Amino acid sequence: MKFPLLYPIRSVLALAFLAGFLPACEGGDGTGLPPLGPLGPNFSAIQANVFTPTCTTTGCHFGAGAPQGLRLDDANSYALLVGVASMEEPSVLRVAPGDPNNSYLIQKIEGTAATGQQMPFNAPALPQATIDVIRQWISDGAVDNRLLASGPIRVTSLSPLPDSVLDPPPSQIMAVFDREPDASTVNANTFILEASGGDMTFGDGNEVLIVAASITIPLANPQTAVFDLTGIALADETYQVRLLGSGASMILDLDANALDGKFGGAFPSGDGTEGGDFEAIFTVMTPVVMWPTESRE
Amino acid sequence: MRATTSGLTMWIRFTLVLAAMVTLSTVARAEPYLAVFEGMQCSTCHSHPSGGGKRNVYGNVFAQSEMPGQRIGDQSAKLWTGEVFKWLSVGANLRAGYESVDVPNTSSTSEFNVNRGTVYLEANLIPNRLSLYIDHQLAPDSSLNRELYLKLKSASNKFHVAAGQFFLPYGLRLQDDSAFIRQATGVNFNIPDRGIQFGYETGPWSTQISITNGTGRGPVLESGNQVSFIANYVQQLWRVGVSFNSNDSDAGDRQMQNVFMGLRTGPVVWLAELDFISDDLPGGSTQDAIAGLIEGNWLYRKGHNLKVSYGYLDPNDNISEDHQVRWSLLWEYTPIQFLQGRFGVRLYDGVPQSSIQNRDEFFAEIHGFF
Repeated sequence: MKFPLLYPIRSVLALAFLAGFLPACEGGDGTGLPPLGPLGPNFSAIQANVFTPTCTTTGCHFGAGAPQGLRLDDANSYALLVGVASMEEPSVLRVAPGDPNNSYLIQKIEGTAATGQQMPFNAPALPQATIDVIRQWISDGAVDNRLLASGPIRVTSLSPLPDSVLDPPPSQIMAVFDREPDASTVNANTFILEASGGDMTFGDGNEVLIVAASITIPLANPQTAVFDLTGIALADETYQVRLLGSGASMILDLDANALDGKFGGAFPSGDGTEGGDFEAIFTVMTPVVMWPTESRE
Repeated sequence: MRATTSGLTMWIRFTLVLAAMVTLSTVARAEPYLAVFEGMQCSTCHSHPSGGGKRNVYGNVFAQSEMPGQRIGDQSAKLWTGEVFKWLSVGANLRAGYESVDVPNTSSTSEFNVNRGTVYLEANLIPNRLSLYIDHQLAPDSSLNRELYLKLKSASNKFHVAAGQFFLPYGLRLQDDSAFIRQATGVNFNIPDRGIQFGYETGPWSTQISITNGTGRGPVLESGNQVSFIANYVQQLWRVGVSFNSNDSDAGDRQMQNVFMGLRTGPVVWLAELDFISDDLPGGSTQDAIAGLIEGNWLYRKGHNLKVSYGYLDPNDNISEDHQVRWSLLWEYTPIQFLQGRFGVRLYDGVPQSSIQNRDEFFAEIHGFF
């Protein structure tokens, strides 16, 4: 291959040009990030030492692009891991409390899962000592130690999201609390879904109550309440989800604290005091699809 | 750079080995840099319009005649084209090798591994018009279907529509999925999606747009879809492109956009990409990230490529000192057709709170392909 003099000159110029775009030659010094603390068999330590630095800061298990919908950031990881079926292997729970060997999380980080690659993806495997800590946490029941604090029970997430526009309609409404609610208080009187009656407003008396196929607290995920819409086709309409924290019937936690449900658009709900209903709306809207009638090549 | 002592030793050792190999050697080509070097579209050599995966007839001939240092065997024999029958063609990639990883505060690990094994099958049901494409990963770990789609092309070959499961059209389709631009965007060879794709390619222009579930290959449990778009303008010595991706889900909305370019200066090919990633999270907060790549490929002799790359990732624009960088030096040697050796080091430098963000990797890989 010939090397005319112009080539190295152009190459050096290109290199100098591109080098001008280098934002940094070395990594950040970590200022602004929270201190890690010691790794131990509790959820907050595992979150801070493993999930956040290894799984989310590379952009993978975070936000809308999270593979298999598994978001491992601090706000979502517990609710999406514990007692939730794997998408890759639906017969296996991501974390089966008390059973690390049959937890998909362990199978993925140990490289024994039936599907896909060992995690972390394209990075060295976690040290066995770290995996053992996660195993111990699962063996101990996979408790969310962040929720041991006192205070009123709050709503930490809702699916579908508040103010979302859906197509197709949801097959269930799922509310996640920051601790286990008293299952006997979560029922058709306290977990309510209403259609607006066509005017997209609520509280004017023309709302239509949607009766659930069932309202349950899954044994495998006792912080979650599920409003099952099986067999119920929600029409194009605006709907309001209500979780009652006041009145004759209200949602309580196991210590009889009432729901702190007041919702201003950001999770968790609440203003720090017991009482207050959680209210959020979503809309079902089926788009009109128009296809071209002929090719225009 | 905060290089560890062992990292420096590794670097010196690698440089010496590299220098020796370079002096003994007699232009290797794959990936986007090859397309830039040749001034061609990705689809010139690959069945997939965005590149990667199975090679077409031209790609196979190219791999035997232009890539290797020498072509061995019967010089008068017909070249492998991938076509086993008139309507059926196959292909494969196997990457296996040795890797040593040094993570601060932990003992270093070294192992032989099968990094990736994939097989491809393409049934040309109606030649040049309708085809069925399968890309299946056999290793590492468990089996995984990566791509499976039907593709219909117009009579002019300018338009196509594909439906099924496929990799998204977005950015430079590097082989290296550990590059920040591949990892942070989530557009890589580990995360296909299901949907439909439309493409238009004519002269210097190549564009694709896809509408997919936005859940990887998982089922739809949430509302919203993902839209991905890429446009390339290709000239003999340079190219520029833009990509856009919008993923609307219950977990929040992600929007990504990038610009990328390729430039050839004699035997050197330059690649660059800059990605802006914005996540609107439930609750109203927003997190912005930036990922970038600059890569130089010096194809100094037939069968050889020396690659230097720089990667940058700022995962959260709200935190000033959480960025990560990665430097790579890699030698790719293709001595004979269908066989390539890859030897390299990757030095990561991230926040001190994360050991894994400060690791050094040394690897040697054998890559067989057809």
